[in-house]
Amino acid sequence: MDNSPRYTHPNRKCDPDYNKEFSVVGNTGYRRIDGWEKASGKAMFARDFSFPGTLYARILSCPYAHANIKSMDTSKAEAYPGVRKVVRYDDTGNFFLSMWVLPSKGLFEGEPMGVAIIADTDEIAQDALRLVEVEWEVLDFALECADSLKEGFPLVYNSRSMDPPSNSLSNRNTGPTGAQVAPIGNVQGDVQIGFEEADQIIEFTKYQAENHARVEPMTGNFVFKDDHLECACPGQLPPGMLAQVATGASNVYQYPVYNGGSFGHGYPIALLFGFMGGVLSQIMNGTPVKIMMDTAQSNFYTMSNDAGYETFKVGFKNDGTITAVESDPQYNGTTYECGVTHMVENTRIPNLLTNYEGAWVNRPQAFCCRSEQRVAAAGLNLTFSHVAAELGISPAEVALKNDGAMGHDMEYLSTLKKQQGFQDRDSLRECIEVAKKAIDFDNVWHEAGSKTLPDGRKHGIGFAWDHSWTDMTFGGQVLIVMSNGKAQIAGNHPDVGVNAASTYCQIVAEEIGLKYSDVYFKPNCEGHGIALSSPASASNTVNNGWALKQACKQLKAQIFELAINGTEHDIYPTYEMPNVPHYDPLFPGKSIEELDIKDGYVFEKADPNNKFSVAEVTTHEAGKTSFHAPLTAWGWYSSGNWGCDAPHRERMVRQAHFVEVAVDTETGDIEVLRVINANDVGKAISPESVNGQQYGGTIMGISRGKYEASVYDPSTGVKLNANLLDYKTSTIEDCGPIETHIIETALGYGPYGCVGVAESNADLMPTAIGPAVQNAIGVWIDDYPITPDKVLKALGKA
Amino acid sequence: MVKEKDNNCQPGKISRRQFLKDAGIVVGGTAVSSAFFLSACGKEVEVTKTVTTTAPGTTNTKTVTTTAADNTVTVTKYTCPVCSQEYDSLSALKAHFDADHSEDGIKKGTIALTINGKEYKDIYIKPHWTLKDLLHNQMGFVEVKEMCSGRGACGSCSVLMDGRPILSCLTLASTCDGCEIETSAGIAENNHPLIEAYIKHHCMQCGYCTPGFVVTAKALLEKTPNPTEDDIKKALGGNLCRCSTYPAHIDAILETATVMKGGN
Repeated sequence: MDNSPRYTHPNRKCDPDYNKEFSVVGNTGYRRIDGWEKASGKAMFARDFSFPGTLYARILSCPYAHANIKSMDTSKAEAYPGVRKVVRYDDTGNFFLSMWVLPSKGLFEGEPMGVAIIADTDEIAQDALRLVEVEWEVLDFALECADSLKEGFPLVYNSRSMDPPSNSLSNRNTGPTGAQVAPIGNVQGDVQIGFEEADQIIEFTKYQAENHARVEPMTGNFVFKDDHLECACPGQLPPGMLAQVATGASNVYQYPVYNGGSFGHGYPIALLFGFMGGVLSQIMNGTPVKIMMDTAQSNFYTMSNDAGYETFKVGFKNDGTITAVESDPQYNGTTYECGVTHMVENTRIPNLLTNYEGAWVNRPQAFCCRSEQRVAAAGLNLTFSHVAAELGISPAEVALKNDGAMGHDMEYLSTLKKQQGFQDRDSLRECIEVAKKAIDFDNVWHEAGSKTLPDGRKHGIGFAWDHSWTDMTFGGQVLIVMSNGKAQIAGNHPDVGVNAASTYCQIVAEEIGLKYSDVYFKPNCEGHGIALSSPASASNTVNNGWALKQACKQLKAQIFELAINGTEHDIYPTYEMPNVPHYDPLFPGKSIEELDIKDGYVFEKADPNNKFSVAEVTTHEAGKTSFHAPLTAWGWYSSGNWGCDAPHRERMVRQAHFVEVAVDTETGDIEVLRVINANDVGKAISPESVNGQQYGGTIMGISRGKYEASVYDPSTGVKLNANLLDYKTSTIEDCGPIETHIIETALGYGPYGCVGVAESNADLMPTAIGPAVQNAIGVWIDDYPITPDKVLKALGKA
Repeated sequence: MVKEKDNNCQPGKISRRQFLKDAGIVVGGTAVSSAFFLSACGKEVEVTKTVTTTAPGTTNTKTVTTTAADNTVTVTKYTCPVCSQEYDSLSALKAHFDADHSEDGIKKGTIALTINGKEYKDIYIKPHWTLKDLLHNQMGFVEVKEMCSGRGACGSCSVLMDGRPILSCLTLASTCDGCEIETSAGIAENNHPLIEAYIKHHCMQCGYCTPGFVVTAKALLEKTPNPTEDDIKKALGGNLCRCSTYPAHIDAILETATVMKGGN
């Protein structure tokens, strides 16, 4: 294969600032902007927020896995004291309401549908909802696509998008934007050739059904008045935009409430609320409406991918070089990244194929939840771990042997890096070396099933690796205003807890030369398109960071202009300002190259004592009675899907993790003894924030790998654990030692060479546990989450 | 002689068990009437019969009180929660209450609390409201959060009641009359060193669960000024964090313990 890069993408060059001397970026100890609010509990979430005079709305949940409303008697609810309005599925007047928000057919147990009660209090709304009498037509249902794909099986979903109607989704593997997200067909090369070249071929099937339980019960506040809409509703994309579409409002004003443990999970409900909330307030003639859901309802929608099977056929040489991978995913519903996607992006495997098959089932649909990369990451990890186990060598070794991108090897990547201005560093090798040293790999690694601990449990080591990615993004725009030497970042930005606001302040302080304490960001209301893309965790720091840098570059230029030329030169060319007082420059005759800004002071490089504060340079307030106009600049950036638009999808940044477990062969319990994270993040702009995502994602991932799944009654299709008592998640008592390491190769496409980190560990950990268990007991369990009953079954004890 | 079988109903106080057993659940959210409260004040008691006999051919009567087992009957006595007077029937108690305590009846739908050092009197409550309902929904203490819809699974609603950490979603407001409540906001406004430690160690990410942790952590430090890592894990095991900030809490609490002892 030709190893020379096919073309160099102009926007995929390394940020030349990656190795500058940093003052703020990369340093620790900066106080979180949201810290006191969140520690005290004063941080406002949608649940805490109410418009004055609000009414409360509750929506019916479908009690069956699949059912039609034959008739509905709402007379008792309508007569209930305190009920102001009953909105039914068969009310006419609003397209969105009847088609999308209050459908007459429930497609999974718990689906919001049918009727909404609006009342004086939430209690009244709930009580009145219980008085609604529904005659149901209960329909056949399917919980697995193997059933819904059977010949003659009834339609289990609204198939309005399919012609002819069908439960199959095989030709419709699209994500929320409608773009095809998982490769279908021969992605690279020809797998048949690859299998013929292989020394060995193995097959395995994994089943993944991990889920996610949301933290904050979903709530949406809406008020529609005089063609203007205001809302306070969680969600990463402003649901206000959708409310605007549904109501036809000219303006929308979205209050930036915090998001409680969403990770993308609340997205579909936020969409639903967006369509519904404004309409309900519109129906109530502008009275505010607060839509409430409880925990069970809020957790209807499942996580990053629907449950499903995926069979892998893998051809490889005896030295660990993989020659072909064929993936046959079969998922319940649509899914996002799956199959061989990640193998395209960060391996040299020449022949790759995905044969996607999916079908509608009567389970809630998946939406991105930390993250949609989970299944593709699992496929990569398990493929490599299976090959390694078959050969009896370390999976880290197999990973290094196959590292690359888009079928090209590391030599190709090395050439690409040099062409694009990156350092020629081997990210995976560096991560593995750090991780191996941390876990004392040479002394702990052993053959599968060969090590028993003194307490009788079996010891195992598992490995996981992947590239580090950024998120898909629609672009981010930011406005920065500087006045009196301080900078205020303006933009709507749903907070998801990754300390983005403080991180952006670090970037601005660094880029302009201010003190961190002189930069502030409190996300603004959205309504004018000034919105930083979200979630700014994984991923969108890459995007938003560039937008901030653009704006800062302009602001710095404005500061220098005032420093050198005062106000003789008009820096506001778009309008006249006849009364602008003249200020003498404080650095007359100097050039930009002779000046710099640091810690809030403009200074002459050759004579640092010749300095004035940015406030003095830009406002000249001393002795003057007029205020100087603030400095303003805006930036916008779109990094494209996953930080690197196709066709260029070479990923150069890696991560590697080891998991150490003890498996009790009597009870099936798996204890995670220790985890080593080695994440190359390109550049850690805020190391504490990166660290938090590392251990936070690790604990979440372990919880998913061990416990978290929705359990359904096969005879009724009803969810049996729709509450936080029966649905198990990790507590502080379930966490063993986690050692996190940050590697910074600056091989990312983001500012300073950064990439995202927040989705990484949560996605990789589940399928690090499976290989660890195999190393412990010598048996593969590719059925996630790996609960004790599955361990016992694998051991032939159940 | 009256032997009380159930001492849950004391004047001015209604236990949760008695309330739920006798009162049922209010539907409709209408204002609580005195009768509703009163119906919870009935309790079963055992009384011994008094037997009056008349000697044949005379008008002399003799009243004998016997404690023989077969003379013991179970009747329901209704005790006025204001003045403790007993009545044989609910209707009699109602009549007495309406006649003699109509103003008191309104007052008895209220409680008094001290929240974060501030006294609140005559707080109107409904009998089925939990303390979390009252604090968050009615009184605006937004730091008292809800994650599990009142099942006591998450710890987000934790507050200190008379110094003890409780789950406010499982505590009826009606049982809290006269109590001192401290929330995470009160802890922060009193500049407890835990807050700065929490901020420094990034014990929050989305921030939804953080106030509950702060409350539990403060209670731990007051009970165990020198906690070990195991002590911390055990104490905070009832607080769920989906962002999984758990390791940070251990560091923050250990640091706070040192600060509180006068160290750095």
